[in-house]
Amino acid sequence: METISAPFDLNQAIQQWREGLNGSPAFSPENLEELESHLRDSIAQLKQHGLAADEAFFIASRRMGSGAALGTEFGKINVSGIWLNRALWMLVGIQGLGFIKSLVSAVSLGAATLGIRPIVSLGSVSAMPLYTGLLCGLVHLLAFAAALAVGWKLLRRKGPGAAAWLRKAQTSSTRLTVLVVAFLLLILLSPAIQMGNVIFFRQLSPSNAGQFLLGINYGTMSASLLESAMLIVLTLVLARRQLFAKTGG
Amino acid sequence: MLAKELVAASTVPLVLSVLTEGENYGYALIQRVRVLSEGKIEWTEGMLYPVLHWMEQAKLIESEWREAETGRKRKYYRLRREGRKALLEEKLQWLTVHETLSKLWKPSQPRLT
Repeated sequence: METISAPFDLNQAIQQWREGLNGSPAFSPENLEELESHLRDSIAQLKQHGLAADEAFFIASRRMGSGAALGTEFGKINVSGIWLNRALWMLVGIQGLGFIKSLVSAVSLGAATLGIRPIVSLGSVSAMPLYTGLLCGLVHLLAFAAALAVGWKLLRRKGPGAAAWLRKAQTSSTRLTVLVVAFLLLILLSPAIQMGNVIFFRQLSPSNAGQFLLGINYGTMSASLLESAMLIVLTLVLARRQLFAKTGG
Repeated sequence: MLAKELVAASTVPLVLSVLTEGENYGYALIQRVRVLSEGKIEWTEGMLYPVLHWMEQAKLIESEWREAETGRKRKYYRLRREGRKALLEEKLQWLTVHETLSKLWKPSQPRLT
C-alpha cells in the first residue's frame, strides 16, 4: 500500500511549515518560536498515543489552524510589525529606484562617451549633438526598461521568497555582510563610470565639449520623459491588479 | 460542541481561570481546557496565541521564556494583579448569565405541585 519513497523527516516538515508562516509579516520571530514549540508539544503527545511521525505532524498542524487564518489574527496584534515591514519595503523601493536611476544615467553617459570617440578623432563636430543625444537617450531608456523588467521578474517569481530572505538577513550575519558588500559595490559603480567620463571630457576642446554636453542634455531630457511615462504605466498596471485581486475578479 | 461565538467570548475568562492554578504555557493551557470541558470546548489551537499576546499587552498576564524539562524552551504565562481583577469582573458577568438562565430553566418541577 505504502508508496512513500523517502522516509518522513519531522524536523524538515516542521521547518517547512515554519517557513510558510515566515513569509507573512504578521508573525514576529518570537511568535514563530512559540507556535513551533506548541506544534512540537502537540506532535509529541500524538506520538505517545501511537501515531506515526507523519500522521502526528499532519494532525498537529491541522489543529493549529491554517496559515492564512493565523496570519489574520496575529496581524491584529502585530500591527506595528506590519507597518514597519511596509515602510521597510517603501524605503527599499525608494533607494532602489534612486540607485537604478543614477546607474542608468552613468551607463548612458559612458555609452555616449565611448560612441563619440571615433567622431571626435575624425574631427567632425556638426553631427555631434544629434548623435550623442540619440546614443545617450537610447541607452538610457534601454537600461531603465531592462532594470524594471529584471526587478519585475524577480519580484513576481519570488516576492515572498525575497521578503523571507531579507527578513532572515536581519538575523544571519553572513547574509547581512553579503548584502552590505553588494550594496557598497553597487554604490561605487556609478561614480566609477562617471569618473571615466570626467577624464574623457577634460580631453575635449571647448567647442567639442559644448557640443557633447548639448547632445547629452537632449538625450537625457527625452529619456527622462519616457522614463516617467514607463513608471506611470507600471503604477497603473499594479493598481489594476490590486483592484482585481480585491474584488476577486 | 460550543458555538463559535461562545468559544471566542469565553477564551479570556478560561485563560484567566486556568492561570489561577499557577503559571502555564500555551499547549498545556489548551489541554487543561480540553480535559475539563471533556472535549466540548475545542479551540483552533494557534488562535489562542494572539489572545494571549493581547492579554499581555493589556497587562492582564505576563510571560517568560524558560527551558522546560524536555530541554526545549517554552513561553510561560502568569496572572498579574490586573488579571485577577478582570477575572472577578468576568465571574460576576458569567454567573449573572448562568443564574438567570438557571432560574428560567428550573420551574418545570414546582409547576407539578
